[in-house]
Amino acid sequence: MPHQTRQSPRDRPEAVPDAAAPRLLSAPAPGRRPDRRAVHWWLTQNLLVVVPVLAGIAAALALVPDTPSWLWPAFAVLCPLGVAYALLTPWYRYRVHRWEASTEAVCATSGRFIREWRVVPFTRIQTLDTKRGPLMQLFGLSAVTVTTASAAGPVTIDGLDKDLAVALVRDLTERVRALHEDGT
Amino acid sequence: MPPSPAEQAWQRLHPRMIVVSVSWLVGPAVPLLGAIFAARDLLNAHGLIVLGSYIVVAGVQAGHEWVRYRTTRFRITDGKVELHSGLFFRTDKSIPRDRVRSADLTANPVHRLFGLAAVKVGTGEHTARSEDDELVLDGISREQALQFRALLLSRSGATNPDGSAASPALPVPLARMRWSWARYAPLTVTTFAGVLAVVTGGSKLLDTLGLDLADSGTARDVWDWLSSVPLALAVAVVTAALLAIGVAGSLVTFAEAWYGYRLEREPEGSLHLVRGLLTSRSVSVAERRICGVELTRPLPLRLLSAARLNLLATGLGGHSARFSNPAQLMPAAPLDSAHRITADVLDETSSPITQAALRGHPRPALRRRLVRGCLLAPAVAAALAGAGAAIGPLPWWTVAAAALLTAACGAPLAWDAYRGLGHALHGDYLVVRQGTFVRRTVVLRRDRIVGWTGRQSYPQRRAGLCTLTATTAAGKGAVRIRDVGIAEGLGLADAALPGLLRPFCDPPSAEDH
Repeated sequence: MPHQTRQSPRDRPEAVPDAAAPRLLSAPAPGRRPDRRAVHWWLTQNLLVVVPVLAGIAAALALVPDTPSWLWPAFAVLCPLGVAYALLTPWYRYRVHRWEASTEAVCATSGRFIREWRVVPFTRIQTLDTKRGPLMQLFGLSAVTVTTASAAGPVTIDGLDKDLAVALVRDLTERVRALHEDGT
Repeated sequence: MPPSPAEQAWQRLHPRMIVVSVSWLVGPAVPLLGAIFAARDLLNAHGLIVLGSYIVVAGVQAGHEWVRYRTTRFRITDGKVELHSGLFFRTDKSIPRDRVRSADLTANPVHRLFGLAAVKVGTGEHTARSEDDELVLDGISREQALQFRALLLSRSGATNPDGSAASPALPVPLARMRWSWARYAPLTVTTFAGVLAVVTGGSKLLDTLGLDLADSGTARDVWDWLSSVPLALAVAVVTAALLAIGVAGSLVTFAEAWYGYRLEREPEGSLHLVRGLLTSRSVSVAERRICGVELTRPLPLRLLSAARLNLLATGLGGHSARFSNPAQLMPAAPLDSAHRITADVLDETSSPITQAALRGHPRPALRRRLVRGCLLAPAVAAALAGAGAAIGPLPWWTVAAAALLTAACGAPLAWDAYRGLGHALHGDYLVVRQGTFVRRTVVLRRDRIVGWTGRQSYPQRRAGLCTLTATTAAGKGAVRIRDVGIAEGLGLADAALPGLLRPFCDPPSAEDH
């Protein structure tokens, strides 16, 4: 993990904000990926929605005698779309969802059509939660949510290995406690 | 601070609170009984049912309030404020005293009639369940409320109790009510919303009571007169009448909301705002909670170079119905007053808004606004007109007319929206301006930014733009910089909180996955 403990440039003697920028910055690209098993988790999640819906329509077409005429073309369109969505989005998510903790902040990126990155400094973290739904437990995964005092939404890191998530939360909690600020 | 033993004991709400809580039922009773009395020959089963359900509701409400009174207890201990309430669903709330960020007093006319007040204790934390983080004591006597607030907020002052309490310094006044500001009051959307509310509310009431307006003699006479005069005159008369109602309503609302307006800085640094004629509102904001201000200028106010001012502070901006917009620092007023109050509130010599040199946004941001104003808005207008034409009442040429008219309005608005975009770092403040119908300029203290968020939709990515969001504990929790150039936005974010983004932006090795 080469990106895990990068030095922050804050250690430099009091950078003057504008003059300190040697070159233009690129959008934050944290280095760490979710766990491989997250793909399987997302896939299962998708299939649990798509398969029953398609099966329901198919059953209606097969069993109900006078189905409306538009149902066949609808099924013909929905079927490949649904299957493609279910199979492809997990991989896409795996590609775009990254996270990283530097020496003073946590960063996570997400988003398929709307890309998003969120950065929260440790000094502003209020709560750190891990969440494990039944499916996530099945795959040994966990999600970490980092909440700040802002109402504009937390930073969520999905699909982490459960041990890694626990370790991460413990590590971050230690660091936040060491900084000892009230987060507003 | 001497913790008097009385504060340690559990206390109750004031028993008069039961009467106050039931009193809202008097409001509907007056028009209800009035209408029934006035039109008793028209009264039918419908009206009787309404009357019966009213009586049932009144009984249930009174019972509920009695239970609430019997089961609610509160106390302040050295460490925390506690509130227990509920019979079947008990809720026990407690807030650690060092987390208390505000104690706001409010008293509506009925409260005042009975010498009571409500206190809302807030922690300044914003979560999805924000009502969990505040504690409301609705209905204690006014003296008790003042004492309660003083006790809670004196915490910070109490750390240096050596005699300083004996010499209370006087608060410094920052602003006072000026009745000339009333001239801006009718220029708000709420004026027209108010007219609409009165009209629909009136017709709804008549409808609920089963009374038909057409049966009434006066209404028939008015209608007959309107149909006899020329159409233009009738339209003008109706418009003038509605406008008069709207203006009168907005002036009354203004007077009610802002009578006795006073903004002052208390000796220990907190801001104190008092206003209200019938419902008196009093908001105290500790200095450490102040994050910045937001200058809002709806289009009509912009034409008259006037503005409104909201405070951005942790714990303000939650959606509590009891305290209508506590963040408002002043009514619509001339721009220079707004700038002066901004400077005073932020404790600066001049307002960062006037000082900051805002940087405009790149050209593609204009293109995005033109697309919205000249393509999307006309398309929607045309679709609506088309639907109208398809159903019947509108002729087909209105489709083209609607589209053209919208595009003609859309182009200057888009240009104006683009001109309005701007951002800057000025000293300790981040200054962001945006919006065209309502132009907002936000001044946010840099050290109150609790994180950065960037968003890029697909069109934004094509145009090399992004929407940068500074998250903060104040207000709605975020200050958006829309459609800023990516490199410039990241530079700004990096300059605002040095060293925060850089570790994530640098890696050249991130490209290889």
